[in-house]
Amino acid sequence: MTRWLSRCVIAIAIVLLAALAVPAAAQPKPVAWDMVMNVGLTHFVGTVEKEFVEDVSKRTNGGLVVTLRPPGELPYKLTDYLRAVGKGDVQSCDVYMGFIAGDTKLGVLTGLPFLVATADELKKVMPALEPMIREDFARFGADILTWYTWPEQNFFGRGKPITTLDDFKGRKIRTTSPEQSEMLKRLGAIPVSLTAPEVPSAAQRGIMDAVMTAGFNLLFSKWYEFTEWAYLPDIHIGGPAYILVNKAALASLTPEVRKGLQDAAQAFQAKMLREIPAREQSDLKTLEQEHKIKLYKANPADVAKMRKMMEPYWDEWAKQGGPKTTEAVAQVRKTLGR
Amino acid sequence: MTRTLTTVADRVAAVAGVVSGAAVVAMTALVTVEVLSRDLFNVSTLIADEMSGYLLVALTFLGLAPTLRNGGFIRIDTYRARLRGRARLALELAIHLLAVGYAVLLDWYLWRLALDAWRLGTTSIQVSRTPLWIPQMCMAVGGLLLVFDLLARLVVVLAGGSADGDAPATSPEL
Repeated sequence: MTRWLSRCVIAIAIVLLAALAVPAAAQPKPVAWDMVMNVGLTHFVGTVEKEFVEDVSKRTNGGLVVTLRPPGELPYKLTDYLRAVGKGDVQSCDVYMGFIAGDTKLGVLTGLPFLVATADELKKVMPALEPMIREDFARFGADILTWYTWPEQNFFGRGKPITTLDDFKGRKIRTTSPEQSEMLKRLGAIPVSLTAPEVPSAAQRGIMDAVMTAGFNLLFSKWYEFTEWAYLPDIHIGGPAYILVNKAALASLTPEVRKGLQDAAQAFQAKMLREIPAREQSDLKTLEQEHKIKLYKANPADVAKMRKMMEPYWDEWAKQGGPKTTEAVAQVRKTLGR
Repeated sequence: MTRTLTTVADRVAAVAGVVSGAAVVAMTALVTVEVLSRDLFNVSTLIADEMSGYLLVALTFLGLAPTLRNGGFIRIDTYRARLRGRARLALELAIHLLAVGYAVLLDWYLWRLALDAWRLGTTSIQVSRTPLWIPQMCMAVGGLLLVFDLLARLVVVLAGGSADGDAPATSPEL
């Protein structure tokens, strides 16, 4: 009897083990990726990225699970993102072009003042630029999954408003890059270097008259509290911002999972390119109506003059980056007829 | 041999201390110039904030070896002060081996960071576009000086001396 009972127990155990083992073998373990973000989860871009990672999971049938990591959660600064993804320390990132300006010139050339002004112009130049940028990022071991753009950069300030080209003379404007500093000097303004936390107090104490940003950012950062006017010549488009992936991690995915990821990235890009320009327009309206910021659209003749002032600088800047950067700037100018 | 090594370590630390002190002076001068030029002449150096950051890094890392030499690091003596003879020597050896191991690991990564920045041509994203291998190399050199100083102390301990001065490690008053 005891012998019969023990045989039964062994048989049941074998059946149970087999039942557990079969689905485990049939279902491959999902791949887990981290994606370091450019903004927090509550920012508009963060909420679309949340939808993106959910879409990735859906399109890959759970084969790839991407966890969003807001800035500061993992020990990488925004300026480290390209190198961290390239080395495989983290598999993916969202990074605004300005933060990788220390690593690449090709990837940030659309930030040259008055070269690429709007999202539509960016869409026109990216098909030719993207392969060149991709090649440059390959030096680091990173690849572009997709890109999107932040809105056009403009002037937001206080005190006497800037409404024409002549109003720039002697005005103190915050700069965050050598390209912006050069533009301000050519416009007759005084570039002032300030970190973001210093901006509100600097504006109130008169150390700075204006900043260059987008209405979208002004609203989110609450810088409208010290802003009285906006001058809108569309200095340059705020993009591309890149969704980067580690090349080896991308290659290690199965073809089905990779396709699911790429399809989700395409859908994300389409949504961002549709929604961000629309949001900028509505945010500018909010700034005007709710926060009483006076908006001054730049006169096209003034914009043309500013563009003319910057043209020689585009070539000087490109030369410093070598033949590939020169070729890329020439390509952009040809595409846009500038 | 230990005396020569100690003398060399003393001199190296003294030089690092002078450079570190110069970084403090330069940082103070730069911030002063920025404040005055902004207030009086309506002009910004554009680099004061960025360069102050690099100088702070340089003074911190180049100041590691002289600070260790001068007993400037916080040390908890609860057990060490109560031990005598071989037990004290064993503890000193363990502490120094651990410190050397940690400093070597840290410095290995600092050199890798600086060499990667040099190889990839990484610059700052600020107005100056400073090649980042320069401030990172200050960190790596400071780390190397700390390793050298810790090794010199380890040799002194192995020779039966005290890493903190002329008194032997077995001295009851320590």
